[in-house]
Amino acid sequence: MLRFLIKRLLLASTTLVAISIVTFLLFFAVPTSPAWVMCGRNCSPERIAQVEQSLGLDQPITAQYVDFVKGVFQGRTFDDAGTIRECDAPCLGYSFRSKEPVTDTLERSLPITVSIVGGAMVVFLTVGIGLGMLAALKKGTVFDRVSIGASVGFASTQTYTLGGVLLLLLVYTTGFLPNPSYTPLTEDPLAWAGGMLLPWITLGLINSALYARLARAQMIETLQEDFVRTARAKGLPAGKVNRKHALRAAITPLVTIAGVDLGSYLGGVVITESVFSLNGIGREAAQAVADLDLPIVMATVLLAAFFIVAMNIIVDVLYAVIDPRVRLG
Amino acid sequence: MRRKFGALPAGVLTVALVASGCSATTNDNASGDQKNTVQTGTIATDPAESQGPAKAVEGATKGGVVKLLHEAEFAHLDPQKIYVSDALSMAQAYSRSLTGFKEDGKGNLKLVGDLATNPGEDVNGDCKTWKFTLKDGIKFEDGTPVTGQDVVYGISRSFDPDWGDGPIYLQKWLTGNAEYGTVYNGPFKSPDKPVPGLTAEGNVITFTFPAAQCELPYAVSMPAASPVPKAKDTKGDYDRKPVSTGPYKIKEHAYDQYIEFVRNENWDPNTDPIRNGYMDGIRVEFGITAETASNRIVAGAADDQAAFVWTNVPAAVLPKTRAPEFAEQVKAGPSQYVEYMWINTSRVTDLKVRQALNYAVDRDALIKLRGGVDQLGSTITSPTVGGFQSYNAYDGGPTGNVEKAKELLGGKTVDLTYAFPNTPVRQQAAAKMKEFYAKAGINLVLAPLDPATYYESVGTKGNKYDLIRGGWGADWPSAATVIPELLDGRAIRDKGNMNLAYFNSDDVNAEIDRIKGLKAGEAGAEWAKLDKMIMEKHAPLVSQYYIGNYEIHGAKIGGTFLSDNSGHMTLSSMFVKP
Amino acid sequence: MTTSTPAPASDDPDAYLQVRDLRVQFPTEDGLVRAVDGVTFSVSRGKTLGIVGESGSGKSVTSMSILGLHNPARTNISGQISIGGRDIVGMKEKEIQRLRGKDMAMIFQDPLSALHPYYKVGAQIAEAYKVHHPSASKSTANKRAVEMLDRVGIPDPQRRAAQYPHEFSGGMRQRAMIAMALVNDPALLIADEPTTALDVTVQAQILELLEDLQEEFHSAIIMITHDLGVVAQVADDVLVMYGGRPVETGSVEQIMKRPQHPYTWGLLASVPSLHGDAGADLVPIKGNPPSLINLPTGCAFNPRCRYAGQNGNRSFSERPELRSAGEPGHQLACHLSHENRQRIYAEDIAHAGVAQ
Repeated sequence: MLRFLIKRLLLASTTLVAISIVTFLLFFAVPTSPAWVMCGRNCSPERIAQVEQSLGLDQPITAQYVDFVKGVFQGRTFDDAGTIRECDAPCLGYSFRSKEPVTDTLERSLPITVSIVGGAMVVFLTVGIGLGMLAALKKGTVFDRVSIGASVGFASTQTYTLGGVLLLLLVYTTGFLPNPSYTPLTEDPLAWAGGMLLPWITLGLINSALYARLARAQMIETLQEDFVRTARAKGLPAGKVNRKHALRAAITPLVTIAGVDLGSYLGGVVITESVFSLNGIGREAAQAVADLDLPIVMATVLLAAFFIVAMNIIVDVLYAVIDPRVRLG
Repeated sequence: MRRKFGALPAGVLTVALVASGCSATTNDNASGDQKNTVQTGTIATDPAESQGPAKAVEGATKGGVVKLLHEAEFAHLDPQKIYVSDALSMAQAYSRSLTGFKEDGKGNLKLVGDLATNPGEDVNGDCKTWKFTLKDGIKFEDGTPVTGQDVVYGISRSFDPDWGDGPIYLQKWLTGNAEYGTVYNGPFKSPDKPVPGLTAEGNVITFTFPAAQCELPYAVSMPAASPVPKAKDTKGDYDRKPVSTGPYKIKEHAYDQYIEFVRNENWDPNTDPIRNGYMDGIRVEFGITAETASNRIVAGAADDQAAFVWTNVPAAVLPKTRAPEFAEQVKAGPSQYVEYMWINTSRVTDLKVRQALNYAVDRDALIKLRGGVDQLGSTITSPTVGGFQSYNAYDGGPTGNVEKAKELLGGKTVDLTYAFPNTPVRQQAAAKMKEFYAKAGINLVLAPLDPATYYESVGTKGNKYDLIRGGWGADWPSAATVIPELLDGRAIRDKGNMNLAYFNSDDVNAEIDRIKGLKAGEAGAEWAKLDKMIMEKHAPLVSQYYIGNYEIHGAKIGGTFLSDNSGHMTLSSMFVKP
Repeated sequence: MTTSTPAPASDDPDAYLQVRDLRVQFPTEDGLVRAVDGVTFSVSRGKTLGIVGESGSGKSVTSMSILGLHNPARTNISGQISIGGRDIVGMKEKEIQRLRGKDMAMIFQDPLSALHPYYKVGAQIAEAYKVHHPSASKSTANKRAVEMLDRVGIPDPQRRAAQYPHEFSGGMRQRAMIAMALVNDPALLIADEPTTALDVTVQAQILELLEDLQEEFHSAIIMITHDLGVVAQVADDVLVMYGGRPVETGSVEQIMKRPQHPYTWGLLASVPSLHGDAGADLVPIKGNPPSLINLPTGCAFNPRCRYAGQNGNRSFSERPELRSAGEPGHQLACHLSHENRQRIYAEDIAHAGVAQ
């Protein structure tokens, strides 16, 4: 286990380093320098050169990368138009648009994304897996057909469409739900949940559909397994057979998918955030791309990569916990 | 030219509007939403007009918090950096300048002294030396009195070469040099140098210009002429949390998320002729698209009843807002922006072709394409400019006069290249233009250009485009920020031209010089005459439409109207209904 | 147990398990699957019945029916299955459930897939005990599980009980499976190909274990297999099935020494001798088992039978009934005349020497 973790963590850091190098290179491939963002409209080429110098942008790319890495571990300072800005470790860069270390920006937007994704996960894992399992147990019945038919319908809708329709129906027209908004959980849990309800429902419905179909297929397969027959042959009641024996085995592959999904969602659910006007990581990244705020772009890419890599490790460990046959090594 | 926040409407949304049956007939010239107020701006001569408090708004009550639902974070809050219309409107809440506009929402707009006791004294009557005296009792949010030195310091900051986002009038005028950076670089880079031409003694601030600058009273209405306390100048961070002199101060600013403005207890309404300061606070929420925001306001949930927007209601939501119950909540009117098709006079030398282009334009079609909140254009300046006179030198009716155009062309057909930024909205417009000009025998060869380098391409002298998409908005309600900026042929350079007609005519240049020497209050009517003369005699452009503003606020907001200065709903007179 | 005492395989009114005219059908989209089509047999406590046939012959379906494991919504069952005097056809699921694992237990073919991979072996056995002894404490159940593991010959049972199935060898797993089946002391044990997945030496050990345990618990055993070698070793009586029907039944001696049905001959020829000659002269039965939806008319075995048609056209038109093969208890369903069979057996089959 320990060896596995060390190995995976090494691999993960290598991946992150590789991604940081690639984004760094992209950063340089963009024909706009952050100096433009800083210097503004009436900026002369001489002035651009000066700003680039003060930002270290005239340095060779390798030196700049070393500075970036140093910043991550030691922190660094930035010269923003004569103002020296401290950027404490882990420093992922400094945004010349928002005038703050990138980590400050992420600190504000990450809780929003985490709230959206966390709640939606709970919805679509419980609803999706529950529905899928029931459909599998009642395979071929009207319930099975209706729920799976509905899930195909939901799965083929887009967040953009469904979110828009739900906004119109539940918020604008009937006022049944409050406007999607973010209130920190610690401030007012009720307002937090209320403001997140619609994104949870939307993301939840769409993903429930996916998970319901997956869970159904898995469960049907598992119900055919010999060990399920054994459990029944022991004289276990049907409920216990389904829950203790079939569900546990059927759920394992779903854990992998859910984990990987969680990883990629945490990197930002751009469309959901946009539809519901929530300024999470995804929207921050999209806005940064539009504004050529490259430090933010780079940091969000790295953050997304980090979540995906981290979730992969967590899923592998979880897998070993669930399935004793899996040996980490 | 200042930029308008959110000026580009989403092209795809217009489809919905057409489908819903709006603006179906051609005679409805799509300007039905507008109260067509014509600007009658003047400069206040009576010092009493510059004295506070602001005239009470009928039915207004104190208290409540309004909520601005905004698409994106303001480009700047630092008064010396602000130049985009939304931030200009926001600055009204916390940043007072030497002068300011007093408006009544009925087209009466008067420049008065805001921090100053009057809109400026032209000491020698030659527009070269101007004197402003600060009112007594003006304080920063921390209670420190505002001095003349604070104003000088504020203006000096706008010279910083890194801060080039703001307007550059004062810098150029004070140094007498378009490349003002060669003379002075602001307090950070030239800490020991005095600001050229600008001095303060106690409460008196004096501007001394090498040349006549009769428009100065207008120029110092912009936030760039706001005081900044040197001791509290956080430089880059000032952009996040500037020190207030207005009725509101920033309590909290979470970048990209929200700003919370609360009452500034050190603002004395008795010194302020413009702002009523009825609300207890303003909350700005970012990241809410125009569509979401308008939908929310139309839906009118309890916490959105005191909400408002500073963006146009998008086409998808427009039909709903046209319902009678929203009549009070919708504020529509022309903005200071005019959409042009420039005619490159160095290439299209035949006046008759230029006139034909003016006759054949189907303005109605272009406006409908955009959702129908704009107004038929015809003049170079917008109706929001002081002294504006409406005329149409080539009146072909809303949909254009093809016969008249053909007559001018004398049976010929012409091929002309039309350059425009390659964005969906502009593509649609270009396609429409190609369609209606074809009827008159004018064949547009479309040249879509990379939007990022568009102005670089068309602003280069000797470019090969006959027709060029463009637009312009006045920085303050005076044609002095339009006609000389655009059509003074002596300013044509190799690169970075704003005179996209590459128009240079001695008679026009001479008139520009003459009117520039007139007092700001008298110049308006003269500019209007020149506007008409240029179009009649030279036709260097087609004025397509005055970009319309169409904003909405919640049912509980009262007292506000579209400002002829900023184009957005005013905060000064806004209040929350109980 | 290769006893020479002839015993009636099909009908003993005092037997613990009695199956009469069992028919099991599954309606499917392709048609009605007649998985079992009229089977009658009985097994007494202390006795072992071998059910032999290829896959699809209906032997596993028969055993599943005895445990009542078929989904009643998707299965048509008729006939009678009496266990210790209780007819379980049509019995409520709740009641069958109480019998399952207690009065009747089952051992499956592949112990690796039949044991739950995520639970410890001891826990799985304890669970089987606990479900029928709800008042037993967890530690009692665990103790019982360890005892059973010990009883089936697993060394160091305490430690083994805390291991997962994948940590066991194939033979150990089957022993664990047997321990689980016997934990409640069932009167009837159904072993469905219990040795098929195991190698030959382990096979013998498992079969010996089953014999020992049968003596100890005095249970009735049904040994389902396609391997007549296994049957020869453990069974008292044998039922040979083909296409869902019984084709030959009798005592183990009758079936092994004096088989009468061409299908039984085929099975015998295709099985390696337990006593050497492994791999020598194995003759698989040509062709494939028939479709249970669309059985051949006449004798279901006719397309694969070398001797079909030797008795006029009857093989193709008339289904042979189970009739006495001459000796008491020995029955078969074949159109060949007694003489013909004797001759063919003597000339073609006996020298193959399968049934030692």
